[in-house]
Amino acid sequence: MKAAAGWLARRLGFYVIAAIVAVVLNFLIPRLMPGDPASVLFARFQGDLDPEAIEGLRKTFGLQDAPLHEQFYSYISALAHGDLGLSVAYFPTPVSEVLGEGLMWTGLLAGGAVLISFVLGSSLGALAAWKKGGPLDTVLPPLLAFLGAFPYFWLAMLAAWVFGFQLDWFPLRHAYADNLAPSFSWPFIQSVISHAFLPALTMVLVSLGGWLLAMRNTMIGVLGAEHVRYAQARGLTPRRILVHYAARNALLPNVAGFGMALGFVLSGALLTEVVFSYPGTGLLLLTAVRGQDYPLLQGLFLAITFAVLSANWLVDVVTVALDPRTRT
Amino acid sequence: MSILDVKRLSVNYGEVRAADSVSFSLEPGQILGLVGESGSGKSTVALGMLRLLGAPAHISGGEVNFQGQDILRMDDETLRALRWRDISVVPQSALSALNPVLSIGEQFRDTLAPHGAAHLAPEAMERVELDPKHLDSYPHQLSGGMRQRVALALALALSPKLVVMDEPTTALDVVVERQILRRVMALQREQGFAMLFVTHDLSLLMDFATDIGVMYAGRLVELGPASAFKAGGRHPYTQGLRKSIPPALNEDREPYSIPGAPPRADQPPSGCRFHPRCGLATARCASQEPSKDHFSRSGQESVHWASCWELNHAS
Repeated sequence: MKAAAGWLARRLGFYVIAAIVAVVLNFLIPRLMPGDPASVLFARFQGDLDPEAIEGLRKTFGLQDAPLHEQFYSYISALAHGDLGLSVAYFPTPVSEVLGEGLMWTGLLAGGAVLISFVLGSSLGALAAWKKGGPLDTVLPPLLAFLGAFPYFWLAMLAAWVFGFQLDWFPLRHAYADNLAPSFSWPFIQSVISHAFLPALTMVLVSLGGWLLAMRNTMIGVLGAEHVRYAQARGLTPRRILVHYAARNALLPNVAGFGMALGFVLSGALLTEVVFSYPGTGLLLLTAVRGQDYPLLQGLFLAITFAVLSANWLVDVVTVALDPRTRT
Repeated sequence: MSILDVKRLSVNYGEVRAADSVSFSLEPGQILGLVGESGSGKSTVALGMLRLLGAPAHISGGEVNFQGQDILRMDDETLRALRWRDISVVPQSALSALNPVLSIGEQFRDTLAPHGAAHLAPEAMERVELDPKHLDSYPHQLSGGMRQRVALALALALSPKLVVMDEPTTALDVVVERQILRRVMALQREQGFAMLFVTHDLSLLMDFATDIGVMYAGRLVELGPASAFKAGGRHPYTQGLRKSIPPALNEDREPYSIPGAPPRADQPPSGCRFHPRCGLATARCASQEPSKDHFSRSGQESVHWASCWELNHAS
């Protein structure tokens, strides 16, 4: 147990260093690029601003001609206070506010979809391998591989067109109905679910096959292992063998893949959010790129980096919890 | 009455017959050693008769009567109820046989709790001279010898009537092997279970088995009391095995080895399967399967037999 804690602490240290590097790069790269947000904003008003206003904007955005190390200091101290500057595209809303809302919706939609897909896919994969050659094993893998082979945006658009537009079963845009105020009331939750249903469904459908096949294949390997035969010789119930002697062991190699998928949730849901006009980080990313919204882009990149790093650390923790061999 | 009666058991791996019409029986308290080279089908018989072989292996014929019931024709639940309470297995490698992600204690509980005997785990550990504190350990934290003891403790925890040992000490060095076997024999005398002991080490069996069966290329070629094997055995293959045991004292003797190599399982030789390697083989050996020659009987039961056409010349 002690060894495991030490190992986890070392991993955490590594991720902290990676995060620091990301923060520094996030500061440097935009400053090495030509152009600045104030000029973009200025251009947007097409000459309706006088030079004093531009100066004012530059100050608002913190664009100083100060030496680099002073800029870095103010960047770090602002970051420490959670101040990521003001968004250009959503001016004058602070980036942290825009980002916070996006993170919440993407976390809910894409995080939920990845979790559902992993749990469902792995369970189905385990069952398919358990009854190898059975109905489940014959039908599901080719069917899901077929679904997974569709270009994602095409499948999403098809779903939006059929179930949203033609049949009108589900709303087509936003995270909740416009006439509702966010609250923990049943109508609001219901609205959130009905808005997230189609995008989540398409995300689950295309990724389910991958999880199923990965789990099915590792599971078939584990089912052939000595310890499963020995558990059978000891007269354990088939259920006990399936869950604790086969599926649990087969899950281990797939946990890393799950962590990766979870880490890429913030950027990975871009197509979904564009097709379904869902107000998450993917849509923000697109808006920020289009509007040359540097502060928002920087904030997004930081958030994505932290998400990937945290997901990796989470995988480390889960692996240690699941596999005693990593503890000593 | 025999506790286990195996009749003409055949096991196939797809088209390949790995065990061909093998018959033997076990009395309570009897220790039958099954010896043979790698690929002779000895483990296939031991695991196949308990329906522990998965695809592509399948039973292609025979009966396995345990206390009068045919294991091969039992439904899954009846057989599962029999497992471990009446029949237990000690695997070849406890490292691969124990689940790496569960502690030893959890694996004891999984095995014993359905029989209402979870509390017997510490006692079972002590019986094989292991500290019960290792119940909290995971398999990878124990040495090879300790893991094998754990497997033994598991096998004997419910005092079964029959213990099948599938090369339980093959992965260990000779010192640890002897320690563990001495413990096994002491416990066998205490509990009186019948034992089927699969190994490739004939000299080991002659030390403690009451009876020995010799397998060659999927067939049982000689079966008899251990004393008959100490005297040299009857089948030419048994005699070859006996001669190839290096002497401990007479160091001048040249080490002996049986010429040739065991046949491929998918192309067994015609007639007696040993004839291509046998110094006594005649034309008849190549064409006809030898019948059993019985050397001694007790009542109706044959106690010692071998299947060879040239036995009169061999002995």
